[in-house]
Amino acid sequence: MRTFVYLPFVACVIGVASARLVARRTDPRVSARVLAGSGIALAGATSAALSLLAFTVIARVPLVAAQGRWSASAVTRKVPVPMWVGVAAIVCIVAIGVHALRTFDTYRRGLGHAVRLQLENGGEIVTVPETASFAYACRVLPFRPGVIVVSEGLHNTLDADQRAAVLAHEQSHLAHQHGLYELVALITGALNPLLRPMQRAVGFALERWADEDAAASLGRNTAASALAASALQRPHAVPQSALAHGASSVPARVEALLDNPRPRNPALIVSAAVNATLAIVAVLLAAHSTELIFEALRRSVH
Amino acid sequence: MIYYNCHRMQAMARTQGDDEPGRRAFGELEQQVLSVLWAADTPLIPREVQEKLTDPPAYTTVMTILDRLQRKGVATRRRRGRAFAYEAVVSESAVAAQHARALLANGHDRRAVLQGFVEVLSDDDSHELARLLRKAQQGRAIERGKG
Repeated sequence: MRTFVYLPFVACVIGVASARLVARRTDPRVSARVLAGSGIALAGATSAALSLLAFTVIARVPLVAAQGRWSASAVTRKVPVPMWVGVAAIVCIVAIGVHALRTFDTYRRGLGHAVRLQLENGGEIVTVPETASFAYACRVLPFRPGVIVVSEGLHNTLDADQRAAVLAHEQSHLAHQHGLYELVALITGALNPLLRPMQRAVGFALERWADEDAAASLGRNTAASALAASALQRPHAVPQSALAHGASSVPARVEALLDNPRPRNPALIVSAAVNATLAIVAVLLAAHSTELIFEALRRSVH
Repeated sequence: MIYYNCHRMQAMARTQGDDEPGRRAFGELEQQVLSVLWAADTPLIPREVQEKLTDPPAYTTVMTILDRLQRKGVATRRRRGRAFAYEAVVSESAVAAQHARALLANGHDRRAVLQGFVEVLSDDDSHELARLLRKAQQGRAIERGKG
């Protein structure tokens, strides 16, 4: 337990450090799956590790010790986790819990609109009267056809082939259930805020995936020009939002469409998967050794 | 590449395996046809729609879908020569637009919020994008020249 319980956090740092690289240097169809999968695995492993650390403090509460039939002072002597680490873990869990509730409250508020939109307009293209050029796809109910939302501005900014590329992009999101990957990434970020960059990397990979599908049907130059033209038209029309984040990913996506057709870096993919697997294995070992320690404490009382 | 091919093969197996395409596949196809109509500058006859589809289905399937879209009220048609030409109806549904806007405001669709719609470009990004856009447009012009 002494080391294994901390390994998921190391894996988490490694995962975050390499997420951007994985998203940008590998085939997005693969990296979206690997990033979403390893992200949720890392989130699960760190949550479990935090719980184990927190338990080492909770087990010293007399009431809990009585219930578990071990002595609180023996826990202090035998468990190789300093008191302050366990207390810090409890603080983290509370903070994460509060933050996660807020995240899901925002999600739930949008969910009602998304469900109604999909139930009433499934399989359709809905136009919103906005001058900005944008489009998005909505499919929260995986077994019903999704909705594509387009702005009126898209019609004026782009020519027919570029519009077709935008719609092909959105259809790719719907056809490949990208909404579910996003939900997994959202849960990842909520369980462990340190993994937020991973969540963003999943988002980037999903966009690249859809970009590649649009490029396959309309051509790379057309897909790239549609993306760039829409993005360039936006800043003047849309007020800055609190949700807007720093570095834009659009130039990177356009560049990938123009210069970098299909990067393949199997080593990056494999190491991301191995990293997440190791985190899971480490936390399972930590849990096992914790169990052994408390088993021994229980026996020593009798 | 292998991944991609697998996926294509699965998609083909799905459409070829069923004589009567499954509900979901049919819904997807319907939206693809609607997208073709929506993206086009002018009304299209079924043959033109078929040409613009990736993995084009049979002509009769396209006809069926266009007819369904027209009956659902999301497309209109008018006579062009001996065929009907179809056009997407711009949905004026205020309710749908309201839900769509609420989604953006609530940030439910994180993809739109984080990566596209409200993302504000820095000056550097704008210059870089303008350069890339010129490059893409040149590429398109060359493609058109060849085609």
